[in-house]
Amino acid sequence: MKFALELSDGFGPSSGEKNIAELIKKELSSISIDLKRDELGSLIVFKEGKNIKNHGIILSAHMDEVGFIISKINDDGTLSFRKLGGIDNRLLPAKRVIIGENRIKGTIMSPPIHLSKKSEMAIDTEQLTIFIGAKDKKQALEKVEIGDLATFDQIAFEKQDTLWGKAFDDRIGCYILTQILKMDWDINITGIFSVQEEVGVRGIQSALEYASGEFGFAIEGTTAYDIERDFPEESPSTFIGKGPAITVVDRMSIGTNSLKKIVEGVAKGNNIPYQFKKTVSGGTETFYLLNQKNIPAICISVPVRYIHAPLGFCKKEDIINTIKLVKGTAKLLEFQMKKLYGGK
Amino acid sequence: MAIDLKLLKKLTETFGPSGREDEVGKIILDRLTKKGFKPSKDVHGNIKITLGNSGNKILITAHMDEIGIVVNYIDEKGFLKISPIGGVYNEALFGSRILFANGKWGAIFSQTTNPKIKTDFNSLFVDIGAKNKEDAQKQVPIGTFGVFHREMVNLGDNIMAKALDDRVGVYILLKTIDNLKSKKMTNRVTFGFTVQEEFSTLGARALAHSIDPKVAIAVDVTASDDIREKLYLNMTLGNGPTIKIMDSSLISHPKLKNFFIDTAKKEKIKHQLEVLPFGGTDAGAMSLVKNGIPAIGVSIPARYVHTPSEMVNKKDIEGAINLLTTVLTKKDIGDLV
Repeated sequence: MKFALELSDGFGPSSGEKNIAELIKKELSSISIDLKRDELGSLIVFKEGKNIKNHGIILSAHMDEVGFIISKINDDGTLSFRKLGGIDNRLLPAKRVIIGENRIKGTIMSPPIHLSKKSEMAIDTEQLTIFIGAKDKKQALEKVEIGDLATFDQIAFEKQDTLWGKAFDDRIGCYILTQILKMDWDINITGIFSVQEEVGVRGIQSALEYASGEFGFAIEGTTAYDIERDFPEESPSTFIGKGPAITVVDRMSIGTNSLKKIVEGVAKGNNIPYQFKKTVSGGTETFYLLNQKNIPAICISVPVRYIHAPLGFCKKEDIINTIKLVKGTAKLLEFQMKKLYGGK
Repeated sequence: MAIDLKLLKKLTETFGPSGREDEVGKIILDRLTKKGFKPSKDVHGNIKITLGNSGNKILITAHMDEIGIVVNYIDEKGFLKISPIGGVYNEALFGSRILFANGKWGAIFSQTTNPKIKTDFNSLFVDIGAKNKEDAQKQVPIGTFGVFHREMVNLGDNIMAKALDDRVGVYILLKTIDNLKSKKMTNRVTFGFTVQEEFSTLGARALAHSIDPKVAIAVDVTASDDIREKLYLNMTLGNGPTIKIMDSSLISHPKLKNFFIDTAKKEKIKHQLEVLPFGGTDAGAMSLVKNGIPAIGVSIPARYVHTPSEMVNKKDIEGAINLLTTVLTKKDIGDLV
């Protein structure tokens, strides 16, 4: 799972996913595939089936992570910014960030507790700035420019049975897709590594023009809030360590019921632990797999504690079980397609 | 032509929240098959038949789904937490009964008396009479869909039922098909019974995409406010079906709009014009498919939409069937646009 950590460390806020695409290309360089980057930058990986060449499945995961875009360089050398994707303002003060092609390091300002009133603890992003060590605007402009992208600055690591990092939403999906693509398949597998999911599920829409298949799966890292909380009567969404989460319904789409039953059957038949996502929240690429391709589709996720935050973690066993579940489901569909379309 | 109350009762009382429309679909499939048609069902659950084999392609839809809920969590005591499927009207929920997909029942109530948040979905829970968490999970597992069940009641001029949005549209389409069955068709009219209108309009989009019609029509309910007169809406129960001018998802194609109004006038079909400042239907969804499809809506005014006691007028239903039967046999409808 070293590659999962490597992916999390990659630099890829929405619209700046080039680095992630390169990491994925390198990982897949040893296998026989067709690669295409579409106009928006999504990476479409086509692996032709050994036996069946006109039928297959589509898997999608997004390469982008939540981050920032530099919107103004101030006279005092600090940088104003806007968020790319949903990040809670309360998380921002005093966090380290890494900015632009030159990977300039900076820190988001934080009012010292001695001087701040309680009511000022969560500050609008508009009022927050990033300090990069520049003493004035001129010096700052030598290092960064307006439009530079930034992410949280956090190196991923492994600790006992968990993986920690800044971008498991959705590099964990990217990781799983690469592992599936490396396996032997008799049907076509199209892996879409999409861009700009966090800013409105955009990349998948153009990428799907280059993909075809009979079933669709969005692979995600999703919310797990399964710790002791203020409101124990509210849903934690998913639990880490309890297996892949199947999304029955999210904010944008309802997973195809027949496919949901198939996935559940595969999990039960192979003793793979699984859970349903227990909140109707978030929108995923499932919507476009359903809508644009008119195919049954569903989202399967790895539970991650603290997504859209500087540091999150997930359980290795959940990743392994998600791969097992996606693989098992795809193998079952492969078997069915071979029965339908294979042979003479 | 009297209203077939038996059919409408069956349609409205059948279980079918967005994403779980199979039972409603079965009624439609069985009826159409019995009448000698060969209906087909697509991957999402949309059902369609086509009348006529030459002329312009027209797609007319009514959606099979209704609003509902899905169970997303079960707490330690065995109470269910739910999320809405579609635009559920929270204020109407206290004491409502939920019928789940597997036939189990539950009651909705709030866990707080705080008036500000007591109708939020976070505060609502469903009691299925379970002993504890395990018992609840066994009876109604997470991911189970439910609807706000009520029986249909005939009120004389009006009908009161759940899911009239949009089973009344389904009813109108089925009756229009009956009317057109023996007529010579000059258009290729596809009747589509769609899924997930209340959630994402997936069904109508997929159908419009695959058929690529010249004109798309959605038959649905619209809001009326003829009681309180606070919303300044023109739509009134009993004044006839409405011809949609616009809602928040669609401005009806002007030529289609004029065609519908002219036809209604010529045939002396009582009708009213609909400007709905909120809400949307499959018509809006279909209008955005492919290169943009000219679309319009025909609606039945309804009181208390998205509650278990929606109310419509029988005359409006008859009028809509009449209007659609007339319009769909006019050859020029597809040549307009």
